Amino acid sequence: MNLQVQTPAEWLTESERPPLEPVAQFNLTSDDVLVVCGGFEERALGILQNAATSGAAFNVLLINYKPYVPQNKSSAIREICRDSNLHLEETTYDREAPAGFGGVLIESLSNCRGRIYLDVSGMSRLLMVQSLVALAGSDRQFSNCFVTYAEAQEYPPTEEDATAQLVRSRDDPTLSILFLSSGVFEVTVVPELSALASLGEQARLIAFPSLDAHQLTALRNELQPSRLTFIEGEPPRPVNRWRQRIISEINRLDQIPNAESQTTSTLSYEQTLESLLKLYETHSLRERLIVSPTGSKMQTVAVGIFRAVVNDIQIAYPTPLEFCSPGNYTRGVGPLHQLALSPFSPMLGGKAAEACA
Amino acid sequence: MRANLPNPAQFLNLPVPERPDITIREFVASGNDGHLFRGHSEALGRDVACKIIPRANLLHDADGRETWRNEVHKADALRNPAVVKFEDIREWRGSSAEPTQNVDCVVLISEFVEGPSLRKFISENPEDITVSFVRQWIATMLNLLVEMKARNVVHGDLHAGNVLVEDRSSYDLMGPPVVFRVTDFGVGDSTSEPRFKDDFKQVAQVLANLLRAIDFQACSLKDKFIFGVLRDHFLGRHLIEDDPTRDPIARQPRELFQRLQALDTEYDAVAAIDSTKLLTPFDFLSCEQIGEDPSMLRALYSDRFLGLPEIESRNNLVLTGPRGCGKSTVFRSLSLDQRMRTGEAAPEHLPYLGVYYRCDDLYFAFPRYVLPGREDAFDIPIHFVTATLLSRFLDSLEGWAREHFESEFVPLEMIASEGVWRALGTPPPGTPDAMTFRGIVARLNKERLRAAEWHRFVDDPKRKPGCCFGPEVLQRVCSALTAVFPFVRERPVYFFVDDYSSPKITRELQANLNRLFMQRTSVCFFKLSTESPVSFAKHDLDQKIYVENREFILHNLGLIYLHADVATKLTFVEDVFRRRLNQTASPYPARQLGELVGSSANHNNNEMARRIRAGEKPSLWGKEVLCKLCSGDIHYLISLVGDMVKLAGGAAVMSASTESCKIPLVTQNRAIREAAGGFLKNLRGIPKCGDQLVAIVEAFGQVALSHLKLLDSKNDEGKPPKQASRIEPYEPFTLGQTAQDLYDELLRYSVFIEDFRGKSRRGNVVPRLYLRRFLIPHFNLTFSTRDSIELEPDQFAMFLLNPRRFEEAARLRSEEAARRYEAAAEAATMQPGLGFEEPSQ
Repeated sequence: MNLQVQTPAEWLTESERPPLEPVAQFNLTSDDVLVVCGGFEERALGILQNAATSGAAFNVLLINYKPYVPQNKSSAIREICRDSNLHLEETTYDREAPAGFGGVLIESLSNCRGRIYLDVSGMSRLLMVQSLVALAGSDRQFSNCFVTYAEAQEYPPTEEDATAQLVRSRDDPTLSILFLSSGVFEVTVVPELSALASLGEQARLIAFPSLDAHQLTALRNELQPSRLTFIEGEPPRPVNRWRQRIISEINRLDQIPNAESQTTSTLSYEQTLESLLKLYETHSLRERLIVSPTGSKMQTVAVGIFRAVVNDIQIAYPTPLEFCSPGNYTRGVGPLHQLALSPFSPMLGGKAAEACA
Repeated sequence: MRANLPNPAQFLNLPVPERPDITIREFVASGNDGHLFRGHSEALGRDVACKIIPRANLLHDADGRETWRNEVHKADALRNPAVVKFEDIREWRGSSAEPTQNVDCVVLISEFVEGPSLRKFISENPEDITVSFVRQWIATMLNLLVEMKARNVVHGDLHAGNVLVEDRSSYDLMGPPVVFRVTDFGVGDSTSEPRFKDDFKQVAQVLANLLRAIDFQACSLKDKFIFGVLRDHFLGRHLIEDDPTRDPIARQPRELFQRLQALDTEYDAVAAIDSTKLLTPFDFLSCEQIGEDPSMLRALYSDRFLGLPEIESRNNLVLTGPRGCGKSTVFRSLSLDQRMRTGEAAPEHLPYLGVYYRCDDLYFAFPRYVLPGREDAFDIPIHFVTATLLSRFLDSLEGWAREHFESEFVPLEMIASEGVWRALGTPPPGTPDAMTFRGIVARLNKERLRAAEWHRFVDDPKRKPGCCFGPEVLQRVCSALTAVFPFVRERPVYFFVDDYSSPKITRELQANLNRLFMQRTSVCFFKLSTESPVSFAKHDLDQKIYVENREFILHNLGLIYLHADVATKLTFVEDVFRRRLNQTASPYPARQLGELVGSSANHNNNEMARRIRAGEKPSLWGKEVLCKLCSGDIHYLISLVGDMVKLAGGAAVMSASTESCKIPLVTQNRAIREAAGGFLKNLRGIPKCGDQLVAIVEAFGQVALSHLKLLDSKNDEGKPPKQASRIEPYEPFTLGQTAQDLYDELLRYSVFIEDFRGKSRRGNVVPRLYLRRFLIPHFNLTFSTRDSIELEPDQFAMFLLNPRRFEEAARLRSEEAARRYEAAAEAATMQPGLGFEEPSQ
């Protein structure tokens, strides 16, 4: 007699999570597609450059950003593809009108017979979640899909710069501290990442505080959550650990009422996934959960995987208004990584309780 | 044994030998022991079910006696309507002349139940398996098990194939049209291969199958809770535990039935996050922060709220006011759900039935809504909102009616449900819960999700949206309920729709939904709260304008507070603080606002202005000043007093204070002046235009301060300094799109409060823009509402588009400049063109 009935979140909690693996050399074949974004950070080119050095031909799907930012690496990506004889297709992601892009992406990938590598190194956070959810909902589901990720070598600002700005803001309460992005275009909600099953209950915002305090302010202003959970990011390298404290101070987390806080690694997606699953288990029966993926890239990958399986959470994203000077972008290409998504496939597209039937 | 089964085809169209009135008409299914056929009885004039079992498959004792007959007859003792009883038992022995010549079977004859087995139903109608469906099924099972236990009857083979989903609609208009029935009583135990199975464990297995069929993630929170109880308690313990010391109600059908019936109440208790006490009086500044805590909401809600009678009047109403003015608090407090949770829903105190709905749900379903290019999709948002509001209303109404009018509600629920389905214009699903409010709510919740899904693909010409509810459906359902339930007839339904504000709820979405919300009927009224007058679209899809005071009443709390006298405001503000100061977990060192901040009843604006002109920053303190700072945004006052307490050293320091006013005046003054800085910082964070809004308000503040220092008021005999805390255009203005957007944002965030009452000095009806009260000290102005900064339309546009340039032009820097300004202003009163001096480029 099999009486076991599991919800998707319970399945995900119990399932084994594939590791984020370091990769020295990416070897793609002519059936494979690498999805890259023309972001503005140097590491946006890292995976493509590495894979191109293998000498094998493969396919590249370049996602261009709109509105256009001069520092974007689209031209460099085209150049690498041309020089390495890679088959290139392009599509456009409008950051100010992103709804439905998942469908566009899946359509672009519909002819792929091999593996799909989703390079998140230069990818907008909302786009990452949209892409992962769209892949999960496609016929392929996560089968033969991988996330690739290039760390940066340097992550501005320096501790000194950040501290100096923080001191200035204490003296002038109306001063804004700006590093990578500035201001919020709007709090973006797209229908494909909406969750409408919970009605009327109090909302809990799960946010990842960032160096741009406007993001959290805008989220709180627009969404007016009853409760908050902050998932603070702890960088893997001890030399960068000061960032967590500075981010907390910039956002004045200690002064925000009705909030709880926890910390996960900015690199180990498993920790964030674990954290999200625990929050779901604790709060989802009484609260509508809204997750805003404003943390690190790999924290955002965790949000994407979580949302792909657990579809009754709402995603809301404070789209940046503009990006600051190139001096504030991350620099260099650090270690490269790969995450296999196939192990998450069995739970996708099925009904909640069918997993263990 | 399956091997003993004869070929079923040979029975077709033959009469049952011992019941020649019955002809076998149709083969239905086979089991391990026998075949099931549909037969027709000429004598009865109806179909009957004929189960034909080979004698070899039936149980006999060692002496060859037919012990199986006793087992089959046991079920005859049961009176539960779910039981399908055997009406007759006959033998079928074939003779050599017949096609069934080798047959030696027994025929069990029972009524023929129209409808599939539950197993088939689950596989063919997975969309219909909801938590409500499962509750109905398990309630039927437990109800049956109660009698079975009392009569010591067991079924022995209670699997999903022996549960039937019967459609009775063709012959029974009084009972529910679809019900669960249980068949094959005693058969399992009467066959030669006894496969007797524990009834409770069989029920558990079917329950597991049903739960697996539910789309858990599409369930409401309440249904998720009930899903959890059914899975973790019923499936995990109650139905399978053999040891009563581990679970006292395990396998006790009556107790389990009672628990099942109490699940709604259980959920209400769990959903309410009761903290009941504040850690400090300044916690939970907004209704959103209070969250699902009815006791706290009740404790903090003041019925001295200004404007309450208008909100409760039988009119469609648009309520506006600055954030934190209590719109959500009052709306939620007036809802039936909240009143039930706090024990304040006694019918004699309930003149209407309130339904609270917060529009963030609508925003998530229809973000950035634009009217689709196809007409068949226009009604999708109406469908969504109608399903949503009705689902909430029916859920609340059932809970309230069961508590106060159970004897009327229970017998009428089915009739009312029929009326609701008719009003919805939708055929009810063929499920046993269809004629219950729970079943309707389950369906409406699915309709919400369907509408959102239709909307996602509204631009895809290959997909057609389904048939949508029109704007009349909500009102029609309310009328249907009124017609059935006397206790609803006396009470109109008030739909409190909160945060109906653009841009989140776009103007096009509002224009669409206004077709529903602006309807005027006697059975339901719509109360819409919106952030500001400009965040509400006063028209419909056809650009038909809805007229204030005809289709709706506009109730602006900002204006009400602006023009209310201090005594009226003080009554409310003191009540709010009294509630909070008396609600803390540990006794607070003050019980009244006055004990904390003292009284400044003698505060005089003219005197304050003279001191400002003399270069002072007059001290601001006392409860009357707090009232003057309030533009309705009561949360600001609460937060401000909290800041004062913090600056004063906290509650512990105040406990030791022997002063009549526990917060020193200097501390109060500092907190008041600093608070606006925080507001401006948050304003800067507003998407797209935050910096510009801050620049605009700063420009106004600087210009107004220069007027105070250099100009005298024309409106007062004593010639006090001019105290302008408002802008008054000379003439009506039309702004370009950018300027209009900024204007709207200023109103949206209540940086200024718009007042259309009054005329300009040229006699034109123009909006006056009052600076939000708590920003006044930041710019060192006074609380007087007497004077204005008067602007020509082009200056007003410059003020919005280029505030720094405006400030350069309009700020007075010398007495000479002031004289020139006054002369120009005098002339401008009569004719256009105030003539600010252009700043040097």
